[in-house]
Amino acid sequence: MRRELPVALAFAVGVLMIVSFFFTSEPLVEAAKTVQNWGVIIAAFALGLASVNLIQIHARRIIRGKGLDWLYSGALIFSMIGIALLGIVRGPTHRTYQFWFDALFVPGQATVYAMTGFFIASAAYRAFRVRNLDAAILLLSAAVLMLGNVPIGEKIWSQFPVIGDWLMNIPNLAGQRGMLIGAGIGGIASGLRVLLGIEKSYLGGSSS
Amino acid sequence: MFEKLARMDRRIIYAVVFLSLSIPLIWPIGLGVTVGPETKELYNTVESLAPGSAVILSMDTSPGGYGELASGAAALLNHLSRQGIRVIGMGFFDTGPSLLETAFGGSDFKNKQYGTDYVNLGYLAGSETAIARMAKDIPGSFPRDYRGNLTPELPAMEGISSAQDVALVITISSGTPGVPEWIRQVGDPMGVPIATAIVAVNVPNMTPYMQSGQLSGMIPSMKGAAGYESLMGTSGLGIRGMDAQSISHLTILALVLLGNVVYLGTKSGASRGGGR
Repeated sequence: MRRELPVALAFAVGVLMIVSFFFTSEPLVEAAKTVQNWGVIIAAFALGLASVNLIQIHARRIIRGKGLDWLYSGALIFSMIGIALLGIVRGPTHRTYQFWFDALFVPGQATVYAMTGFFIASAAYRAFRVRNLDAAILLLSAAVLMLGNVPIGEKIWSQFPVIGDWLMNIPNLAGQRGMLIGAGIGGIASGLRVLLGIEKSYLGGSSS
Repeated sequence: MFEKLARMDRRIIYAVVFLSLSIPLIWPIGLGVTVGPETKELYNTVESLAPGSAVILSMDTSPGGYGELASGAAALLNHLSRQGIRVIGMGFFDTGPSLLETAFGGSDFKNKQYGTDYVNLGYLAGSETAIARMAKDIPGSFPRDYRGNLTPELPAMEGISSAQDVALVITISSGTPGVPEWIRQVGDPMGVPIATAIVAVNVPNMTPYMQSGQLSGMIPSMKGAAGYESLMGTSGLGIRGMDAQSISHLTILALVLLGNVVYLGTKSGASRGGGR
């Protein structure tokens, strides 16, 4: 029963969502809306659960007091609880809350993201080598696309954007579309496996 | 010499890239802007919207991606403001609503009336499920807006019950949920046009949706934002950033070229040394 009941539930919910997608009968739409509400509520609870888990892990690190880990974990818990309290008490649109978001969180995360540009430049210098024909084609395509996407490319040679567009709209599009259709068919197949109870890995343990 | 170059300190490369980005930002060269067809299509879509109609603007990005998307979001918001369109903001990334506040504050909407001309409904957890839920019943999914007002009482929400009541959905997107989720849950089943401002790394993945007509326009990264600004006859962060992008692309290509010269030089040196 521990396995049969969840599989039956998954089947019932899955069929309901598929049928409600194709038919617009009011009871069906309402039932689908209710199930989607549950999904939203569960996702919101999962966020709360993740916060508790994060606090547990970092509280343990603080207690252990090893190296500088306790300091980083302390800063994380302090800022997490502090910002959460500020948002709950003063509201998320309060000046102070928005200030910390704009002045600390946004530039911090944007900086980390922007740093990848420097790593990519360094990696390209060290690793992007013309070792064989495949690598040469890749390098040439990348160079044309990079130049075709910026105004200076057009100034150097007016055909860079034209060839860049061709690369994006013909070889790239063909490959991307193939992958999308393949992933779509794969999604249908794995959905059917879950609905029919063949795939049970979401219950934990082995899938068989 | 080749061995020395092969072992070049990576901090030198970082410094070169930093200079190639910062110098054109401080002293712009004015290389001009080219407008892509997908950007022109989005511009025309917004131009064709009737004043007073409503648009969903979903901030589906984190601050990491927002650095690249801010110029596109600002250009779009300024255009929507100029057209007199009501903007219904929301986010399916937890950081979306705060970024939306930043975006509204940095656009012409800061001079408009909150609740009447634009609204920020906040964040809904649940990714694609949440988009599907919201699409069927917007006030039911967001009973209160981000500022705590009752959503159905806001003038901006007049006549809006589901996603079918809006003229266009724009997702400022850098990941999942993003364009495919909006197309699956709103664009295709409800027939609502979907458009996007998107980070450069995702542009190749979105090309099939543009070509199939499932996207009604796209602002591809800063290049698209620069094109959009040029169509609007304004100059913002997008146009200012294009010089820096041009020079940095050239710099990276020069580094790749140098890397290959070093590689071939080291290889031929090694084979000559091996032969002796």
